[in-house]
Amino acid sequence: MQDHDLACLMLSVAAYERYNGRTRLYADAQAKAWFEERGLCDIFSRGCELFSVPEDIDPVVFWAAGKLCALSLEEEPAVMLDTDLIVWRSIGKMLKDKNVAVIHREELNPEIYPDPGSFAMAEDYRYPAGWDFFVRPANTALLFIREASFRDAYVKESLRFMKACREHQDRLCPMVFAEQRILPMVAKERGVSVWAFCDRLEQLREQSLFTHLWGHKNVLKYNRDEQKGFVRRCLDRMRREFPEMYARAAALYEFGEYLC
Amino acid sequence: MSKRFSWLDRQPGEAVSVYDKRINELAAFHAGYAFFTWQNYSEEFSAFSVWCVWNGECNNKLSPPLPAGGFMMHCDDSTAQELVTLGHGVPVFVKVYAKQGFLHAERLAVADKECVYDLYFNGCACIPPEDLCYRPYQGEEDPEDAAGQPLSKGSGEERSSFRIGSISGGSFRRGSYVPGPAAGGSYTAGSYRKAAGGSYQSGSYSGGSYIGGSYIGRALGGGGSYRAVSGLSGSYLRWLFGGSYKNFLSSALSIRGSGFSFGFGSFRNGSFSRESFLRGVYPLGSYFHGSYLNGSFSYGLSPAGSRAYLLNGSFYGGSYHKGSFILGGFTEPGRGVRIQEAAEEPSGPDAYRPRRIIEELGYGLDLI
Repeated sequence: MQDHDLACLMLSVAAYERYNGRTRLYADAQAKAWFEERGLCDIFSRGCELFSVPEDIDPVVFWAAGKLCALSLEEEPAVMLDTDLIVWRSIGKMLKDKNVAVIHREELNPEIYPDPGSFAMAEDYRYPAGWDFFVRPANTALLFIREASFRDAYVKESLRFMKACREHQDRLCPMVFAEQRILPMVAKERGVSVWAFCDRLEQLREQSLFTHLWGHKNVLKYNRDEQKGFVRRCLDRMRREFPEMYARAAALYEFGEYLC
Repeated sequence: MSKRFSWLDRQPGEAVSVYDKRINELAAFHAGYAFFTWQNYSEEFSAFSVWCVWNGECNNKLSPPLPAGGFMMHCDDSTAQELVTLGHGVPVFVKVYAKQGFLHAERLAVADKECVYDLYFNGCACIPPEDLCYRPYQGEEDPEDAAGQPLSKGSGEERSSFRIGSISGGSFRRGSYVPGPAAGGSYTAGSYRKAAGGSYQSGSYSGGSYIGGSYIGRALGGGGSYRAVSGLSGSYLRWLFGGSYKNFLSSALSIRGSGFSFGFGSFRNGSFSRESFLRGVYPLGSYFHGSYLNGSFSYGLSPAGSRAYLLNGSFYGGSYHKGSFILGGFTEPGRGVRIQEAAEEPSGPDAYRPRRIIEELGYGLDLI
């Protein structure tokens, strides 16, 4: 985890706990050890939960499979957030009457969402006949699912796809298919409506509810100046609005250089 | 080879803090080469999208290792002219820093003679140059020792170790493209630029089979006549038509038919016909997200495998008639998607642009 990743996560946790509710981190053994080493497990008021991804899922191709596995572990309706997403206000009222909510819908851009027939799959794998492949994908950087039965069906189909997938090079398309395209297809098949905070991508520019690093992480990863600026902004925001979290951040070795 | 950059490693018994301090006091050093081509230069922004070839040993010590593309460098037009005419890579210097024992790149700079240009990563698209000539790295020969020796040309074998995209090409000469093996590429920056800039309008192009590149696409925008082109893929298509056709081709670019070939009969006066796409899997409406101004467009897809399908379409007066094409289904039961009407597909030149921009930049960053 790089400095900007940690800064964004701490700010995200602070903001979510203030405006929306308690948080829990799902982490594999390595990630949990990393947080424990820095004494950060308790910034999540519901703690840090250990979980694992089935071994027959390729961790390189399906790098976000953990999200699906973690989702199935929550017993009550919950919001699942990516660690690079910050929610700046309460979203409780907006989710009150929703069965499934995602942060935004996406277009069927074939660069990101190629035809499913192009995936190399196990011989015995078949896409369910009831899937409508023309449903727009749903970005699950934020995902809320009310019904456990629907959640289980989504997770089951997603994991089934991941286990049957024989792609070994492509680190994008199979993953986003399993995560973001199966969800709305399963929903439509089961007659469940999927609500989005932003229906069109253009709306994301104008909204003031979320910060999502998304592809900008790549720039922060390789551009040191950008990274420094971003981390300092996060720390400054914590200092002004979330002093308790700032105190935790300021005590970390990682952020020492940014506080000079 | 492994000894060359061993001084970047943490020595046995060296404390993390000592290692960090030692590394952080290092000066920048030569760690790769930058390559400049006209197709990666934007006159509008006076900036190059730079393709870099890193020393593999050094780069592998970084966490994360630097990518080959995605770097930007600003310079004026005259400098750009000089850089693309060099015919070889320009040294890139890297200032590294260490934190908790991990090595990172802090600052990058291209050093050409006595001029230094900042190189920074912003994820911009970059088309791999066709000819990558550079002084050999260690592991082949010592770069200092090799000074004055002929430059090496990137090869497929070197690609794996140095992340080079070495692609065969041909030569541009006096406005015409002569197909053939690229032995260093005989096109000059001048004629190359002419091709990209539109003075190639009356040129002709025939034969040839290659992968990558973009200069032909720019020339296509000027309206030359082209025949029997095959082997185009990836970023080639992004640039194939340039200008108003760019987004149309961005969609084409997105087609994930690896190894597909794209041949066409002719392109003249805004018409485009007799295309054939082979071996690809083409999702619904993949080619239709653009506008053809005052042009007509019709094509057919020839199935050359179980997953291809037939398709016909047309563009008239800058818009495409959604209902005017017929799409066939896949022939492999249960594995493909039944292709239907393209009604839900976005259209227009900016159909996918918002996603691109937003995804690359994220959103709500100003809220922090």
